[in-house]
Amino acid sequence: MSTEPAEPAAIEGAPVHGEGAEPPPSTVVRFDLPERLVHWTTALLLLSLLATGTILYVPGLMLAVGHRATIENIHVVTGFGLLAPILAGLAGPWRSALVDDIRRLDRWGRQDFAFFRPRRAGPVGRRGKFNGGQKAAAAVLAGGSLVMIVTGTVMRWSPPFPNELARGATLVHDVVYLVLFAVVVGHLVVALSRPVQLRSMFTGHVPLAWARRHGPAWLDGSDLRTLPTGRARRPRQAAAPPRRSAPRREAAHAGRRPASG
Amino acid sequence: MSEIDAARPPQADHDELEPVTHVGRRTLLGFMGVGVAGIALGASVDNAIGGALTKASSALGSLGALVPGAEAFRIYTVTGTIPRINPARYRLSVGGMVDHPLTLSLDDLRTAYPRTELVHYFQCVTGWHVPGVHWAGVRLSALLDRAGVQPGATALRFFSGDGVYTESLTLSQARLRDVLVADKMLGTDVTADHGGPVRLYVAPMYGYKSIKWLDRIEVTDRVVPGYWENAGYPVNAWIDS
Repeated sequence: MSTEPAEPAAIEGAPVHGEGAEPPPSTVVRFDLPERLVHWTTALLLLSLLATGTILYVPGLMLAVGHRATIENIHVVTGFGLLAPILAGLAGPWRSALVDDIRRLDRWGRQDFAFFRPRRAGPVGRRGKFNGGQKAAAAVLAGGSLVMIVTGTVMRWSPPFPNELARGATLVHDVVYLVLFAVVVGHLVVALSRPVQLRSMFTGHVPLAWARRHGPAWLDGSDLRTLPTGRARRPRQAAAPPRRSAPRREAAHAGRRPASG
Repeated sequence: MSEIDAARPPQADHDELEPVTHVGRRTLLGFMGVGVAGIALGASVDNAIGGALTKASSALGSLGALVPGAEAFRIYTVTGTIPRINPARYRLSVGGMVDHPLTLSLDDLRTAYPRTELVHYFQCVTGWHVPGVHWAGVRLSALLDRAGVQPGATALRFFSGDGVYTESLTLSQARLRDVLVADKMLGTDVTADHGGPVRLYVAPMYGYKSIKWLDRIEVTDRVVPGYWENAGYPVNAWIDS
């Protein structure tokens, strides 16, 4: 057991319940309250945007629903509103867990690239809090949302923006709409098939045993302490490190794709 | 990555730190770059491959409407329903500051005035456009001449059969040669979705000027902003490029 994280409670970024009476001590906080609030308000706004956007985009739906000006106004206001939850989440001292997770999502290690390659025999590195699929989805959602806000602004105020720009913005808005739609549907499908992760987005915590298996580098905080560049600069160690106590079991789990939610 | 993989044992030990790349940041910046480039160049791309996209779109049938850049009309309505107007009972009235108010059936419109047609794109203010649309009908100026515009009149108001939508033109805009009271579009009678039996087509301006289900024209002494113009869109909706 020498390599198991002995006292996860001491690790910053993965606090273990224990001080309070309510949550069972065998759980780990995966998403704190500010993060969950940001997630759910953003989710509602994004679903509303996809719904109104689909009505505006699909002729049959536009015909069935009508009221173009009303739908358009809801869409535009919601679009700018999409930035509000994340900005509010970053605006105060409650930001720390959110900032840590944004840093985690930004940083790609070998296992994140390996996520997109055909399954291999051996495990690639220790797993952190998020896998490559989750990181890719987050990056596409964030980048795509910003592009939607910029192109949507050009579309809504096309005069005084010239027509040529409005046509370009419309094309980009349409393409990114399809991309975001696919990512959101993918996210929902995966989330609904992963009960532990799904529950954690409501309750905030996951069982400690689950976290040990699915995110050891998250539990000990090393997924935030990784080398800052893409080059392998780590010092070579002379002696081989001690083997884990249960290598077979660990390898079996590590060979599987990390469950995502 | 394969060299790095080969150089490193698969079971990383506990204290090892992973090399990382900031893929998230790069993806976000990349999206912004592609987005800005798309705004700048999208119209040219659209011109170049719009035809191909339209073919792909029609090959997909009802899903074709989802193909971005396809040169297809998107049907807008600001009320809850599409007005279904019986062509046999259709009447267009021209009133206000005129000497001879008109009430025209579809037959009157088709027989009593010189017909005109033109092929011109339809450009929506929100960015989509359909090239090479065939339009046919009567010049608005012909109706105005017949009705006899009184001195002091400077503008027109248009009312849609949906009961909500309105539009406006100045008198000089209304007299342009490519402003039509159209009863044919895309080679057939204007369909209900496109604003039939009779709609306006204002070729040099954005689509919202081309009011659908045209019901009434009123000649006025001032410009009264229309539906979208009250929502912030320009009253003079010249397409600038």
